[in-house]
Order: sequence, then structure tokens, then C-alpha cells
Amino acid sequence: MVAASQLSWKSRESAWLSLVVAMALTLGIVPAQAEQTPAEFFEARIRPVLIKECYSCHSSQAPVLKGALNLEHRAGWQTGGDSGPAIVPGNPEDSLLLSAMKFDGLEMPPAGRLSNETIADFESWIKAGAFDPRSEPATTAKNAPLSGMSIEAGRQFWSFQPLIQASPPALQNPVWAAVANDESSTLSRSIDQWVLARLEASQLTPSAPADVRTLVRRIYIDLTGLAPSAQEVEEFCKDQRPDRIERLVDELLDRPEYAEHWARRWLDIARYADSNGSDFNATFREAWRYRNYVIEAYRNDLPYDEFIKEQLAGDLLPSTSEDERIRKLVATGFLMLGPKMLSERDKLKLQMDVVDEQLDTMGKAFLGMTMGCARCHDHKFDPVPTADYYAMAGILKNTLSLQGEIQKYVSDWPEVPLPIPAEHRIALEQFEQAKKSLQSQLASIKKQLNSSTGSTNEGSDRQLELGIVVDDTAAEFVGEWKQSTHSKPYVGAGYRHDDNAAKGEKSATFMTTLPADDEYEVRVSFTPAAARAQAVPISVTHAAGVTMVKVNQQKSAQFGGLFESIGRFRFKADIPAVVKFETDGTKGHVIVDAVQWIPVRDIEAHQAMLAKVASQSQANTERDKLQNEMKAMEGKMAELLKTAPPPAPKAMAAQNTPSFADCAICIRGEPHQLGKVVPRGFLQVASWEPAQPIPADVSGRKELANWVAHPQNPLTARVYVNRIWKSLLGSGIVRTTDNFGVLGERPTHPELLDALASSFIQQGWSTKKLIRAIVLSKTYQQSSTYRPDAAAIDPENKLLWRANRQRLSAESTRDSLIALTTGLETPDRDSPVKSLGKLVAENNPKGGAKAIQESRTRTIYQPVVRGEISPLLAVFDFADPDFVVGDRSVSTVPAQALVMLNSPFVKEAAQQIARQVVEDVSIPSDGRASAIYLRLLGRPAQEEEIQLANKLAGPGDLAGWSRVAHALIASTEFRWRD
Amino acid sequence: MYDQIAARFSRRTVLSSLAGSLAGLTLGTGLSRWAGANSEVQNAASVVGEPHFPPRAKRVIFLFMHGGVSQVDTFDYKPELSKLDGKTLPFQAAANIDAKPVLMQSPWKFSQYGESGAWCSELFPHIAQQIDRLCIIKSMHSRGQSHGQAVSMLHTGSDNLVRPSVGAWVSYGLGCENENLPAFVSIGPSAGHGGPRNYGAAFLPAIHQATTIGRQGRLGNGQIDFLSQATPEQLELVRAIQTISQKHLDRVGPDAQLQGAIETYDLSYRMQAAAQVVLDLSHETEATKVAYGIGEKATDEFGRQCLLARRLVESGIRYVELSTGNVWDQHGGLRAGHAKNAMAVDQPIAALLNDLDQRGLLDETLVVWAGEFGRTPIVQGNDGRDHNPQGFTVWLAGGGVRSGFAYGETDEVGYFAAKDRVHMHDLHATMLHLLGIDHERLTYKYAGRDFRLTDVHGRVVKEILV
Repeated sequence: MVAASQLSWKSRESAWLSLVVAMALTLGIVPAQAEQTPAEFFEARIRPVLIKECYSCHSSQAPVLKGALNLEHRAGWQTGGDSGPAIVPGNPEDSLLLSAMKFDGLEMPPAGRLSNETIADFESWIKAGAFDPRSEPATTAKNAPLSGMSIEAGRQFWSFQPLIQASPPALQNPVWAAVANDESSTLSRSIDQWVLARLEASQLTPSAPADVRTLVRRIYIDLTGLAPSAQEVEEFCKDQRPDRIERLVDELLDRPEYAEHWARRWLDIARYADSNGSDFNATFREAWRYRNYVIEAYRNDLPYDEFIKEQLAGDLLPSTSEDERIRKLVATGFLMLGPKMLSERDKLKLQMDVVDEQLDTMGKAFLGMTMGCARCHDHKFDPVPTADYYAMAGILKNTLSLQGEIQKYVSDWPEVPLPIPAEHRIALEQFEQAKKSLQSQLASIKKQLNSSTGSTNEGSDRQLELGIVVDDTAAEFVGEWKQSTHSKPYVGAGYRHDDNAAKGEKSATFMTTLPADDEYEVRVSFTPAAARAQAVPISVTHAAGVTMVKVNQQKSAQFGGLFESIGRFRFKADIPAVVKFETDGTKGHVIVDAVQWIPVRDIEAHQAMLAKVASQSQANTERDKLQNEMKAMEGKMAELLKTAPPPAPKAMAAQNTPSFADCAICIRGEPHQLGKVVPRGFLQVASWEPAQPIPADVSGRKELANWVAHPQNPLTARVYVNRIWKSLLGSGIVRTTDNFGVLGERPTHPELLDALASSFIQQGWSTKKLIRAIVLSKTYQQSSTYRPDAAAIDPENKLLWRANRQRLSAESTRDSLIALTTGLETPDRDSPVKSLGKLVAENNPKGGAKAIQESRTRTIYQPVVRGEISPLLAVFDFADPDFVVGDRSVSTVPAQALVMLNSPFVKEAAQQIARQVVEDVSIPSDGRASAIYLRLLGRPAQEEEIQLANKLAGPGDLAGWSRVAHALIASTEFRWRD
Repeated sequence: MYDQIAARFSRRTVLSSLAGSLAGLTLGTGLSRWAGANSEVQNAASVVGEPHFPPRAKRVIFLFMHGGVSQVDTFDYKPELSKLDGKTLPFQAAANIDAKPVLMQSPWKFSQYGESGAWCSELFPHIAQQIDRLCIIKSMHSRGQSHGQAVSMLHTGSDNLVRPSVGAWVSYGLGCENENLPAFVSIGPSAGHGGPRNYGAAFLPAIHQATTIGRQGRLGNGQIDFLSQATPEQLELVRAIQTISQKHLDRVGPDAQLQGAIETYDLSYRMQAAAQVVLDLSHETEATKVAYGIGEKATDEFGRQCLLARRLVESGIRYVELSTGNVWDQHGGLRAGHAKNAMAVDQPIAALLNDLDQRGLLDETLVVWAGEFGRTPIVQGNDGRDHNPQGFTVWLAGGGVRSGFAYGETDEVGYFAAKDRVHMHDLHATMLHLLGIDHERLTYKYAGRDFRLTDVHGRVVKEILV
């Protein structure tokens, strides 16, 4: 770490430096200022160094002014660059220039540290007031430091202006002129009027309505994410009521599939994932609650302003019921779901990195602002000063996002216990009590068992008479294993266990050389008990190769309660015999005690001898009785564990830190170089009234949420309605959906954007009403077919002279194929990653991600494991959960063609479709082609297409029709919606 | 075999698909299993395509020694460390480490090799024979005391933010020389310590992300996902898909995306054929395989990776990364661990250098050998060393670097980089420079600003260039 190395360098440097200074003072050499005037000193000692060492980057000669710092004149260092003033006259310690020269933090000049003498010169110069005769030269445009807009100028920028409500202009076009008197909703009408106005102004005409089959497929896919079934299309086509589209839209908005589809879009923005990703891919076991929260929010059409407030500060909002309280707690998962560099050892830096991630996500998601830039310097383009960044960072710093450690140096995050119904709580208490009582009974039996034999291991010692025994003391261990003598009996002085942690990272290898080529029985010892792992993988390296076996360490061992056989193998005397215990995939403690190799020929004789001994021994009868009791008790324990109530619910949720504070500016984003403390607050440029100071006794998060979700916030409603518009129309009114700043694009229809935003707020921030109005507009329902005349004027269709064709998303493709074939399974909505360990994939060569059984539920219920996104989804541009993704890229690459050609999933779907058609006796054999078209594309095949299909189907068997279905699924018509 | 399959396409089809309207596709970098080129013109057009100045190397093989190789046990010979064995470190150790401040000498003997007389420990007997080809940088330093940050720093130039990988930048800047293959391939990448972030495209168009083969330091079956054999039956299916789609396009288009999708079927079909040939090591002679250590237990895995790397660069792939898997992290068991790891890579790497040279490829291929950090000269436990990003060694070989040359120094015990320090950003700037790219000019606009591999840092280490 640089910071770490600085510490040691610094201590060495400063020791050296003070030595030099001390010497200089005693010898009376350096204080040159005594003889030189400040001007002379500057010219002799300072200016030449600046010119030689600094000007190439920090003057008008530089191709790019580095760090916005100009050292060519006095004002340059007075104002300073990105990090603030470079020199504080009279105060060398606060002068960044000097610390950079000392390589303390910044390292300047980068080519190498200057001599100590030079550095001492600069120190003296600054101490004496930093005399600098150089007045400001004329700044050239090139070297004027790039700087963002002032806040005042920023307020004039369109997106920071209040919403403007204008009436749509009168229309000329006869096609749509009727819209003014249309019975459709005011907003749908207003959409058409604004769009038409722009079209007319450019001498463009809108396109004809899409044909009915195209439109119904479009509406189904856009509203539910699923292509309609053949039946659904036919039903709609038959319906002749004038309001059939409205009825369809209302029906679809009520379906659970609507909520699942639109929730997934929000999860893109919330960078939702079920694991941390990053350096330490820890499992987010509780993230699923947030996913379900979002689905419910869309299902119930939770007003968007409430949706924002709950996600940013739900834990601080009042609730009237326990369910509401749970919902609001879970909502704050939004803040917690980001990827974090958990193993960062500089915890102060980690904390600021987490705050930065939260702030950046919040900024892009709700405000369409990229705030991350302002962490290190005032935003170069947008009116976001560093002070605003730290005003908001201060608020988020008062949230407890990290707590404790998973392992040394690796931070953990806190989980918040959720209110729990009394019933559940009692069940948990009873369970714990029953478990405790069984455990103590078991312990007492074990104690008796041990004492009944008089000595700890005597009864089992006979087992050691055989073959070769290698105790754990001679084994080779990888990872941290704990020694124990807790459970008896064991071989030697004790045994070791893996502490039920870091599964997959630990192993234990026993090795020996056997006396002769022979068949041996291999036995292992492991002190069985209830909390042990049930399937410990053990590999045996023998003459014929390597065999993997699994051992249940809960089960009493068969030989004297000590050893369990894991099989018989041939070994060679000249090849080491190896038995390796792994911990991969185990649940519960893995015990490693000893390994025994017994020549098979010796076993029977020994057993006979043991039986004889046993029958003679009263103690052994007693032992057997106790052992039976113990077995019964272990059985009871196993039963009890099976009936365990679900664990007490917890959520990945936000909570305040115990005390609150403002945050200091981190110079250049360095958390160890603090500037002035700024009071907590919000983005000034997007504030409509002077900031109220945030009281010292609150965290500020609720105030932040209220500010974001305020109807007067100029960004919030605009950004959201633009997202919805983009989803339905294919591109946003502001095409850069996550950037409403200076570098973002300007709205193509500013008045329409404001009309949508105003209406959205007036309609109670209702997403469903907004979607309904857009889908019912004539603009949305236009055909998407190309028109050369219009394309000549507006090739990018910015003015919406037609609907935009859209490719089905990764999920829509997958989910539709499942829905059209086997049907989607009902999800259990539970955590999709509960089977994973603390880490989804270990950081070692063997640590593959645990396979998660993919179910045929909708994609939103599948786990989103960072770094392990299913290739099937990723290749079709599934959102990268490391980023806020408001606008997924739509790529066209050969990898997609490969998936379409070769993936078993697509092949299976094609076969299912073919089977449906072939097995349906009501379909005549010459109707099969058309039936497949209807099922996949929602339209019958045309004559030419039927011929092509028949040819491709060959003999017309299942394989032949599967080929036809395969070709259709892979075709552009299925993969896009027109 | 490839020729036969390619011959089944009419020349017209091939040409028309190459002249496809999507610039990203003609770069031929689309095999990435995760995603592909953003078909938006803006993104494809921002690819540099041509170097900024004449390149010294056309491609890169990056040998990633994951876990962190100890510099004082390999190339950074420190007699002082032997003298001070068991003594207290004479200055303050880095923060946040578990090693004791007690020096431990190297358990391995060092000797001088070649005309350059460079030092190398007995861990690398084969590489030692090639020492005059190496340009050894002994004064590396980086950010990240933990693997996650340091691995990310090495691969992306950022220790905490998600940024494009070096290979993705190179793919973005130069594209691929072979239009049937991806520009960036990562063999056996680790799933941990950032996993795909380390070979990802981040905000660059997804086409620049690495195509992966195998994982966790293992080549596995040596195949690319969803690649199957190109057969006549499949060709029939391809043609049917194209016909059906063409009818759709005729009805509603023109539409560049639909057109592009139709063309990708040709392209992917040809890719299958081409990739199958390149990935198939059975085309190599027995002598070559033996030279790489293939068939020998200790060296088989990395030998295969190295040989595949040579085949990949030979076929025009820009950036190939090989990974040992996270095996070098010897906090304990240094003697056994480093010996085993060195043995696994030593012969294959030496064979790779030789083979590249014999085929005339070494001059235009930059080989980079690096871990995410080095290890402390002070001891952890009694046979281990802790992480050390403060000072470590990497070496380069091939196109454009001074061979038989050592640059920079650590302090007298090999802990901190002391003289001619080279930061990770500097190494990146230098690698791009060798490829003909100015690291300050290879930029991509994202979230409102221009991003670079080297952020606002980086100095081309001119001293090591030929």
C-alpha cells in the first residue's frame, strides 16, 4: 500500500532531513537568506528548479496542465490545482508542494526525488514567506484550468431549472389532429401533441399504427417481459371492442409478471447482486429481501417518492405495522448492495470507498448525476464542487455499512435483525432449549462412556494394534486447523478440526510408505458427533490411481467407536500411500485424527480376537449399552435439527452509526490528507431553497431522502420518467439516461419531458399510470417499419416518426422461451444463494463457484453472483451488477450467434416447441409449420415460409420440426420486437 | 481442416460479412463469451485501430504469477540479507502485515548467468539459461497490501474501482490481427481476487473483454464456451436462420442491427472452424511438446498453457494472459511452495521464449512476467514471507525491451524499491508504449470524462527500451 510505505519512508526521510538541517545550522552553511535578499534567493535557488523540474507539466509549456496546477507564476500556486493551494507562505508543513517534493503522499517530480539540499531550499523559502516576483502571465485558453460551472451558472442549465409546464402547440396534421379531442387520457394526448409538433416542424409525418399482431407482441414484451402465447394473440385478435388495447394494458399491468419485469429494470439501476464480487466474493445471503421488496413495490405501484425515501432512509421512517416496518428496513438494502473491497487493509480508505460507491450510485440512480468526480476535485464539467460531495458523503458516513471482520483484514457488513412474529420467536426459543438439553444429555453419556472404560482411549486402543497408523501430528495441513481434545476417543494426544470455516481452503494430507505390495483396508478416525460434517471428501491415492470417497462424521465409527473403513485398495511399496481430507462443500466441522492402513489378510484374525476379548469384558457390555444410548440420542438430535424453525430473519439494511459528524474534505480523495470540514448538506445546484443546516443529533439520511424525493427537486422526476420512456420507446428523451449533466445529451423534447414529469408528480408518482399513458399514446403504437423519406430527414429517429425496434433483453429471451415451452415455475422467492458458503468461490486454485441448480423460474429469481453471471445472460448484455445500468448496451456479436446455434437451452426449447406441435393431433401435418410460427412469433406462416419450413423439416419427424423451431428462435424476428 | 470449411462459404459471403456495417465486428474480436461489441457507432468508431507511433511489439503474453513471487528468492540477489539473517529489520516495516520484523535469508543459492551476468536463484534453472533475453525490473512498487487490490492494480491500474483490464485497453486500441479470433484471451483466470474484473472491459464496449479458456490456473478442456464443431448440418441451420431473418429484414428494414445479427451467423461459423484449429495442440510436434515439459507431471499444466499461448499469438491474438492460479502466496511453507511453483513454470517459460525466438516471433512479442506484488524479506512464521507491494521484481522480454538488462534497485535487504522506482502505472505506460500506444492518448469517454489505463499517472520507462 502506498500509504503504508509512506509511513516508513516518511520516518526515515524526516530523520535524515532533521540531521541535515542540524548539521547545516551548526556549520552555519545553509541560511543563505542571511546574505541574500529574498529576490536573490528566489532567482538562485527556486526559479531554476521550478523551470527545470516542474514546468514541463505545470506551466503553459505543458501539453496538458497536470493536476490543474500552474507553477509559472505566483497566482498559479496561490490558487493551486485540484488539491488546493500548493504553497502556504510561512508554513512549510501545510504546503502541498513541499510534501510532494518529499514524496509524502504525492511524489513530485515523478522522475525521482530531488536532492535534500533542494528540498531544504524550498522549505526555507516557504518559511520566509515564499517571495515570488513572477506576476501572472496572460492565460492561454489551452492552459486555463478546466473547471466546472459555477453553481449560479449551473442553475441556468436546463436540468437544474424547475419543471416548466407549457401547453402543446396547435397541430396541423390531419392524421393526428384528432388527438386534441381524443377520449384518451390527457397525458397520452399531450405526448402525441408534443411529438407531433416536433415532427411537423421538421416536415415529418408520423407512421401508421403497427399492425395488430405486431402491437400485441410489443405490448406483452414491454409490459411483462414475456412474448405472448399463440392463444393470447388469438384472443386479442378476436376481441373487437374499441377499447381492447386499454383493457389489455390494464390487465397486463395487474399481472405479477409486470412487476417482475419492471423490478428487474430497477435492479439494474440498484446494481443488485447476491454476492459482493470484488476481491472477496462474499455471499449476500439476505440481498433477496431487497429484490422481493422491489418486486412488491412495482406490483403495488408504490409511489416513486415513497420508493426513494424507503430505499434511502426506510429505517428512519415511521411505520404503522410490523410488516411495514420490515418492508422499510429491507428497502435500505439499496445502500448496502454495492461491491466493496472488503480485504482493503486501510480501513479508513475502505470506509470512504464505500461512501463513494453509495453516493455515486445514489447520484446516478435518482439524480442522473455523476458525483464520483467531485471526490478528488471540483467536477470538471458539472456544477458539483468538492464541498457538495463531502456534504453528502458526510451524511452517508453516518451509516453503518461495515462492521467487524470476516477474517483477519477482511471487513464484514452488519445485518439488521428484523421484527419477528411472537410465534416464530417462541418456536426458536423452544428449539434452542430442546437442542441444549439434548446436547447436555449427549455430553453426559459421552462422559460416562469415557469413564466406563477407566481410561480415555483404552477400549479403542485395541484398534491401533493393526497395520500402520499415521496420527494427525504427522500429517501435512493446509489452512488453519484447530487442535482439540474435546470429543473422545481419539488417536494420540488429540485431533484437529477445520473450525467449520474457510471451506475449500483447507486440507490435510496423510502419507506413508507401506511395507509391501498388497491390498489394504484404509480406515480413518474422526471422533463422531452431531455437529460434524456429513460428507467429508477424502481422496485415496493407491496403485490404480486416485479414488474419492465421502465419510459421514456424524455417524459413530464402526471399529471401536474410533475408526471407520473407507474401502480396500491395492498399494505399492515404492509409491507413497496418500490419504487427503478436503473440506470443500462440507457443512459442519471436519475432523482429522488419524489414518490406518491394514493388510486385508490381518483383519479377520484380529476381529475374531476382538470379539473374544469383548465377550469376556463386562466393561465392554456396559460400553455397548452406553453406545446404543448415545446412538439413539444422536438420532433424536438429527430429528430435532430437521424440524428446526427457520433462523431469525435478518436483512442487509442500513442503520445509523452511534454518533454523527460532518466530514472533512479528503484532498485528492486521499482519506489521510484532510482538508476543511464541511457541514452536511445536499447538491446546491439542485436545491430550490437555501440549505437548512442538518441538526447535530441526526444522521441526515432522512433529510437527504426527503430532498431527493421532493417534488421541487428538478432532477428526480425528470430522470425517472425518462427511464420509463426509454424502456418503452427504445431511447430516452434524454438519451444519456444516467447523465443529466453538462456532458449528457440535451432532451429531444424538453417540454414533453417536463409534461411527463409534472403529470407523474400530480398523479401521485404512479409508475403504472405513467406506463399506461405512454403505451396508450399513438406515438408508442406506431409501426416501427423503416421509411426512406423520413429517415432522410431524421436518420436516428430522434423525433419519433416511427417506433423503435428493440431487441429482447437477456431475461426476456430466456423467460419467454421457458414460458412458451415448459412454462415458468412458481418461484419460492427465498434466498437463491442460501446453499453457498461465506464465499461464493474460494480464492484458491481449486475454489470453483458452487454450482447452483438453475430452476425454470423467471430470471429475476436466479442468483446474481458477481463475477459468475451465467454466460447465457451475459452474452445478451445482462446488466453488469458492478455498475448502475440505466441503459443496457445492445450488442450484436458472434458469441450470441454461437449461443443461439449451440446452447443446449435453445436446442431444448426448440425441441419442446416441435413436440407440442407434432403431438397435437388437432394440427394436420401440413399445418405444423404455421403452428410453430404462431407459437414463437404470434403470427401464422406465409406460403413461402411454409415451403421453406417443410424443406428444413426433412422427413417431418421430431428432429426435423425441432430444426424449424430452432431456426425461428435464432431468427431476428424472434429476438427482436418490432 | 479450417481451409476445407472455409471453402464451403462462397467468397462473396465471406467478403460481404467482413465488410459488415458494424465496425466492431470487422475487428473480429467478438468471441468473448460474456458479451460483445456495442453496436453503437460511437463506440466502435472510437477504437484507435492504428498505433500512435511505430510499435516495437505487436502483441503481449502476460505470465501472471498469482499470489506474489518473492523477489529476494528469485531475481533480486541481496548478499546483505544473508549477512543479516535472523537480525531485526533496521527500519520500520510496512503497516498491516503479519511478518515479524526479523530478516530471513533466501534458502536458495544465487549465481550469475549469461553474458549479462545477471543474478538468478536456483529456483529457475531453465530461465537462467535465457537470462540474456530478460529485462529485469527490480524496483517495482504498487498499491494494495492485499491480493484483491494488488491483483486489480496489476490488471487494471486501479486498486479499488472497476476499470478495464490492460488487455481490454489493448484490444480497444489495436483490435485483433485475425478477424476470426478475439483480441484478448485469458487462460485459467482466477475466479477470486476480483475474478472477471481482472480481465473485464468495465465500461469499454464488452467486445474487449477477454475470452476465457479454463479457470483457476487450469486449462481445463482448453475450449471456449458454446463452441462446437462446424458441420454441414449446422451450415444448413445457419442458412435457414439467415433466410428467415432476411425476410424479416426485407419487410421492416433496412436495419443495421438486424443486418449485423444475420452476419454474425457467418462469422461465428467461421470462428468455430478457426478457433478449433488454433486450440488444438495435437498439431504440434512431439519434440515441441517435450521442450515445453508437456507430459511431465510437474510441468504439464503450465507447459500446455505456454504452448497454447504461442499458438494464439502466432494466429494474431493481441493479448494473451496465462495464470498459475493463486499458488505463490507462501505465508508459510516457502521452501516447499516456491520450489514447487517454480518447477511448474520454469521449463515451460524458458521453452516459450526459445520457441518464440526460433519462429521469429520474440522480436514482436512482449513477454511480461509478474506477480501482483513481491514478498517481504522479513519472516512470517518460520518459513514464510508476507505480501510486499513496496518493492518487487518483474521481468520483460521480447519486442522493444533491452535484453540482458537489469533496471532499478531495492534497498540493501530487498524490501522497498529504492533506486529508479517503477510504479505499476509506469509499467503499464511502458507496455502500451511498446505497442505503439501513447498511454495519455488512449482514452475512453465514460460517465462524463475521459478515462485512461494509467489514470493521471504513468511514466514510460525509457531506460529499458532498446
